[in-house]
Amino acid sequence: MRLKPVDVVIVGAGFGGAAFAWRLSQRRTRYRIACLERGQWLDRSKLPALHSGWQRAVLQEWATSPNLRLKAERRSASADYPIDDRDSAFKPLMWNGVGGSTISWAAHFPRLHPSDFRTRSLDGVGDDWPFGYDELEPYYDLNDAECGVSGLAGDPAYPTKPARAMPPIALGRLGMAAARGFDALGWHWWPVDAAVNSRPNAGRSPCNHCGPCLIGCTNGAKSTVDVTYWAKAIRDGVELRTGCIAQAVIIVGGRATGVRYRDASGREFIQPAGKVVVAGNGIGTARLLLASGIDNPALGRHLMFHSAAYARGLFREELDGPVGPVGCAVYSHQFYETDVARGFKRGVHLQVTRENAPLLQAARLDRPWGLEAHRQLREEFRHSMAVLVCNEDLPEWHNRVSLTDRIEADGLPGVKLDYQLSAHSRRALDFGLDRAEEMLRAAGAHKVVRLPLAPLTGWHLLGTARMGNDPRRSVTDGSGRVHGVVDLLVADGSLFTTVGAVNPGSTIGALALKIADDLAESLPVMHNGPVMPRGASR
Amino acid sequence: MSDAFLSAVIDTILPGESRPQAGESPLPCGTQAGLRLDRRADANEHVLGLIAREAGGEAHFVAAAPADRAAILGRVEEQSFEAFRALVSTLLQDYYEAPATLGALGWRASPPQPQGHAVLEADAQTLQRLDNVRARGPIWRPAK
Repeated sequence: MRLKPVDVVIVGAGFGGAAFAWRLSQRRTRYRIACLERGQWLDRSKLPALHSGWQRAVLQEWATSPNLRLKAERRSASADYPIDDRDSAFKPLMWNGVGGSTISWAAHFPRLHPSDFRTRSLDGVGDDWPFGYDELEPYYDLNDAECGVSGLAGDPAYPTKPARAMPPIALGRLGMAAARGFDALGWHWWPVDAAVNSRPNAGRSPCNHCGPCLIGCTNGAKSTVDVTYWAKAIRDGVELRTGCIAQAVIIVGGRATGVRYRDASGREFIQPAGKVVVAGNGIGTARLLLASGIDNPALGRHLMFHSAAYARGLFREELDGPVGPVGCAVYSHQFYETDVARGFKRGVHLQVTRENAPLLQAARLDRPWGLEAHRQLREEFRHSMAVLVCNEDLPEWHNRVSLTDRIEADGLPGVKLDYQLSAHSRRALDFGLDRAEEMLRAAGAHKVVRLPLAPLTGWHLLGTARMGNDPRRSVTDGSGRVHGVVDLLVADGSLFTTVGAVNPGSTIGALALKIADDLAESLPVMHNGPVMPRGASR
Repeated sequence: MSDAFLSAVIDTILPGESRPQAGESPLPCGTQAGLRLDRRADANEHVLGLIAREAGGEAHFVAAAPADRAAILGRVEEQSFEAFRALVSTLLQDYYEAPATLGALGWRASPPQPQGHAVLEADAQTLQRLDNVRARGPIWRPAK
């Protein structure tokens, strides 16, 4: 069925799609904007943190990996598709529903550094972004204001940022012990910026430190775009259609004219649109564009995750245990900027994270049964501090998303990841692990256990439709416009030219706001009806 | 499969603590925590059969000393890792949600919400440590 045209159709209601939709609805108030989302709205009354049996949800229907959720005994609310990740060192993690992966994120909210936008010019690695920190800075500020950030101004690791809307999330014993360790070494540390309310804010409750952020936030303290950007965008007239799986971007004569999609009952529709904006994350976006026949050599290439490893310190003193937002204690950027004496370019992010619930702690032991498992759990539970080490994962041609020959249940071709950890990343992670262990010892840890590679950290799905000026090495320009296809844009983490060493949520939101503004600048302010795609009839 | 065999498997995978540290309640064994396998025996029939066979029969496994039972399970784990770990995972999920287990760990049995938890704010000494960071000045790299 062919539907009435809209001015802009967005595919994907995650962070990028939500921020883009809201901003465009602000800038061009009379435009008809529709968003197609494969998943559904979250029903917070059913979230596991409110019920007994919540711990096992992490291993089943709220597992971070869509592949694990598809195998779970209990049905997930996430509208997942399988991903062949056998040849990927990191396993892709995501949530498929309104809000995207913000539903199950930790809401750690750092920005990229100015140097992250100029890695080629400064260090001879990666590529420069088409614009710098200064150009994105106002969008970072706007994104902070819309999401609500708890934190502390004055962090010397960054250019001056506006006052944070709320004070930092309480550090707890764990955060204070980490501060003790960093301070003893004379290293930088700072309370994290978190998109989590530490006070009542924007009609949402403050965090009550319940702990398991990754299985959904019951009271809305965690900023998720279903309750931030989408609530406003819908109020402003954006139409969000759930259960709608985009099958292809329709391209006629080098111009995107709409989207073919399937609804929850399996009926197919064609949604004509003046502009098509894809925001399905670094895997979903590449999958849809490849399935739509986009012929760009860089599409799907340069997949970046952020390489990750952990050092876990065991303390005789009691720390907090599995309480407080998991991503919210303190971090260090002492080693973020390049020092060639270390043997690698760019740097590492050290993030002190909180403990898991006892089931998850027990389940990840090398041998999780027998008396020795009890002893190990006793040693760790409420006495451990983990430091996540992330390094700047550089763009490499062979790390990629591609299609398989199989057609999946959602009607799209299957998707496969190929990702190898580089020698560069290995050196950076080992350096970071050494520093993390130093800090943990300085803080009082009597024992440090390392996880040299953490495969289940693949939240950051980046770079597969990267921005750039050279169509041979990039998929879009600096405004998210796909090279060689008129009226087709991307507005998510796929756009990242490089990824820095920090969590990307803040930058995905800021970038989507900028893409929306860039598009708005190219559109007429007023009109009386939808902008018609060429060749479409009303 | 006999109840005695299934209970012996549970309590070998999740034995009780006999000597916890001072002030701690001992972790219960699996059956004391209320775990049962009878309804799940079918789903784990293959690996349970391997355990019985490795022991020379269900009765032999039941009669074996704890260390011998653990050794039997270790051999089955080597032979059929995924199936054995699936059984372990099933039991862990029940065990670490059992009020008796959580109580022994000093943790409450009720879910995280709506009650939440208390977390300490930064103390004065920690805030002073932030002053040390400020005093060292900016560490970001200009990129003009």
